[in-house]
Amino acid sequence: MASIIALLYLHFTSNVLSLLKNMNLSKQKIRKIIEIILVILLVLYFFKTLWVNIMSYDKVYRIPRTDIETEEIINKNNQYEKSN
Amino acid sequence: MKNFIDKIVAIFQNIIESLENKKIGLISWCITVLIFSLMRGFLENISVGFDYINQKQSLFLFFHFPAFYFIAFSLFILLSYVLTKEKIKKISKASLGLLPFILLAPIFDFLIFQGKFTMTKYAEPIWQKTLGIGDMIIFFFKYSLFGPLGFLNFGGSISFFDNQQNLFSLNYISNYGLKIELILIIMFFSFYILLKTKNIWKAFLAVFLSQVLLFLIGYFPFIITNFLKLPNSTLSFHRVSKLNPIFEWDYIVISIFLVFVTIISLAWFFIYDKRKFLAFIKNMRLPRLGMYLGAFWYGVYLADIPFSLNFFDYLILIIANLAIILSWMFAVGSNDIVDERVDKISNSNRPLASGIMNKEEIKSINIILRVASYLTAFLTGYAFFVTIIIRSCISYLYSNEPFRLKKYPIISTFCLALSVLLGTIGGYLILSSNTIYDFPVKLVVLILVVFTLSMNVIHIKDYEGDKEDGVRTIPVIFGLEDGKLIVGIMSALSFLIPPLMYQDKFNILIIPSIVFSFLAFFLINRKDFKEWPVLLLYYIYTLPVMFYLY
Repeated sequence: MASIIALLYLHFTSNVLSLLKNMNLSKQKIRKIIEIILVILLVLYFFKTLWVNIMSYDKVYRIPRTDIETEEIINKNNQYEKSN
Repeated sequence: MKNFIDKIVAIFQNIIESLENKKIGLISWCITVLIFSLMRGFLENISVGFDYINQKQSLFLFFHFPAFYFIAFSLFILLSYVLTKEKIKKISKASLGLLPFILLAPIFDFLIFQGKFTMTKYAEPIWQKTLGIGDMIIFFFKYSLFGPLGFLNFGGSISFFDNQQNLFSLNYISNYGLKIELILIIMFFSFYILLKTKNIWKAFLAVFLSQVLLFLIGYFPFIITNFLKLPNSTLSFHRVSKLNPIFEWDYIVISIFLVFVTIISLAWFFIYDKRKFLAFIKNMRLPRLGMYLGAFWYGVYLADIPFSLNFFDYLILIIANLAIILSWMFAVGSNDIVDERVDKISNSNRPLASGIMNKEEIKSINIILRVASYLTAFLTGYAFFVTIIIRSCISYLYSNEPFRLKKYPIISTFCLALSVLLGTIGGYLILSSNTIYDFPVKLVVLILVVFTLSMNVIHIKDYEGDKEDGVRTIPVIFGLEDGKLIVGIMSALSFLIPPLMYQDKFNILIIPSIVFSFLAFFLINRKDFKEWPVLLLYYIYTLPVMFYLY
């Protein structure tokens, strides 16, 4: 799996690099493009993580409380583990 | 679209600038953080169905919550400073904008689960073995990639990337509301860094480093257990201290937090103003502080602890020392405020007298020092706490009107002797099974008499200032020359008291006592008087003799 990912990565990066070379972009412009991509990635990361966590309401793990660690909670946790 | 984004950026910039320009002092900042942490505790009480408003949980609500948020906020402030190099005062004010977010977790939890399911607590790892640093780093990277805030967490199964489920079940690490709260905090934090630096790499770095901080804070107690090779459970913090059996979970975590908060606060102060920081540190008067710390350690020696100490016992000793240092710095600060006029004459290098710090700044720092010293003393043990409280009462009566006991000869040095005695008793009672009735009475008399006689030496260098202020010390009453003669005789006498009181050790003590009394008299009465050689002489004599007597 790792080698496939590595091959794909090399394939895409070499393609992107040759594309950029053909476009005759200045260093400054390339930096600007990378920055814009990073901003988009950062925004995507935030919205992705926010969304994933908001939608995780059905995956809440019931945490045993040390003070009142009851049989009932442990059983429910076991059920949860089995169901996942 | 661009207009819309510009408008949003402008709104945030306005909010940040208005926070940065608010006139908020150190105390207001602390009170605001305290209020929000208490509100968080109260809301959590409702959202998770765990009764924090039970008296048994008072330490948790009133100290654990605030200590946690103080350390979290101070770490984020330092991180912001490292990334932006903005003025730390401005960053601290802007950080208050994140406070409302800490109320979100219990609100979300309550809205979704009505207090049935979750409880905000430290992430309890399920790794069974003790992890090395390398394992911890791997665990952190897994957390940062696949954890709730992870870059590669898409809400699905993570088994494809990971075959060590036992080491790594990140399902456990936090509850619903908390996860949303944390991602919002990271979002605004990195946005703040982006606004300040206009550097997207730094914004990314802010996300990564805030994950590091949240990992360290979230797993904090279990990083300690891992370090101590104890089972990774809260149970590892129960019944662990032999010095003081009630020094358990909340006490331990708060104590460690307070040690870190102290270090971070010093770093904050240094960054805020190096000149003020150095003036503050130089004002510690190390020989006098050494005397109080020495008294405490002598008390610990007298306690004759019958077992070897573990990490938690050492922690008690560390925070006891911290309490003494904080309490001393508070006493110094209060004294500086009252003696401002005198210090301008005889101690012009002190922060207030030299104008490096103003009265308001010293007052603010004093309030924080006072609260911190009481809190650390309380965590150490109840008996120790009482000695610190009584000592600060004496220090108040010593410096302040209406009594201002420092004005009266002998009574003033008796107060100092009493403080040393209380320090020794505090050290003795650090072993909770000891009682004050076991403390040797002969030693009480020895400390009180010796220190009352010998401490007059500290008034010689304040002669001019004391004279101006009407403080009736021996040099002021009898004049500098005669005063030095009398102080010299009193100090010399103080060296002769141990052999006289302890007749069974007379033969061994008498010769060094006579030698030291002559030396003390000479050092006090020489033309070019300096205080530190006399204090050094006291230390050289006192240390071996005290250990020889008991």
